[in-house]
Amino acid sequence: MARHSGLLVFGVLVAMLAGPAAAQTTKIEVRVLVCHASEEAGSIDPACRKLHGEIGREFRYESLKRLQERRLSLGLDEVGSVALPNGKRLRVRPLQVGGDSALLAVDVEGSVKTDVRVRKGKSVVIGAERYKNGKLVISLEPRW
Amino acid sequence: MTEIDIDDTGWSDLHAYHDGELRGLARWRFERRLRRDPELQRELDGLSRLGGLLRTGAGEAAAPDLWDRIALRLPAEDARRREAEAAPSAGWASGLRPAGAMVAVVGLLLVVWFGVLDTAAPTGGAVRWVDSGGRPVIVLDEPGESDVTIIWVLDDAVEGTAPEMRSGAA
Repeated sequence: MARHSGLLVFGVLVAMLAGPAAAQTTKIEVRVLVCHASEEAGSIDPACRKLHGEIGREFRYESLKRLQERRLSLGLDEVGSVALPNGKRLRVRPLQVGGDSALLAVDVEGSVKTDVRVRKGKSVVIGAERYKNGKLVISLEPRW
Repeated sequence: MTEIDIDDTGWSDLHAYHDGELRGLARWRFERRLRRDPELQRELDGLSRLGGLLRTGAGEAAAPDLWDRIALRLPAEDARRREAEAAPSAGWASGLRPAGAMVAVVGLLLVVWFGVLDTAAPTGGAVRWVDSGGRPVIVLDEPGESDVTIIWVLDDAVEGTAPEMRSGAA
């Protein structure tokens, strides 16, 4: 009986240790592109051309310029943080990754928080804070 | 400082959590307790502020951002619950497809929320939950068709009008 109990305890311990270990092996890379959509006349930055193709038909702006670009390599439940040009922070946390989609928790400080499920090869665009006669537009592209 | 009723285990867990040392089941249990215990939340907040003051006093430029570690961690279980709740609605949406729900295929789902939407997206779309802090937000969410999901916080919208949107979009 005592031996069986010992095995049971051992099994539970292995399961508890293996769970987090397995979760930590799941890595997701999130490309963060921050652009400035401005009402002032200008051009479309080549680095933002894909983003322009995604939002240009829906939203009005005269120029689109890349401000920063980062790649975050995150494990499950790991929080990645990017300092935005306006001094606020963008935080991304993968909640679930598997199959053809990933669930991300995203927090644009002082602007919007969301949980969004992103399918493989697709992206999320957030039009967030007003910034210098325009708006900060953040594109998130997860890869795994 | 007000004395609060937290047992020894609670204190050690609080500090371990604060230091990012609480893992696995213990962390999950503590976060569950944290969500339900406003006093514990205040204590954690106090520890964070104290840490911030100490860092400021020490003049550390690149101090670790504790909030980075916990901000998105706290609602994680809620997010997973919402995700689980959203699963049946996704099935419901897929069941509609044969019935001719081409709206989801051709057009964009345009939803304007004023305030906090605290439910799963009714279409089973990409956005499970969004909180814009009371500001109007537009979600362009086209399940399965578009390469992008757009969440756009409106700045100048008045009663549903959005000057920054092109007229054809809505």
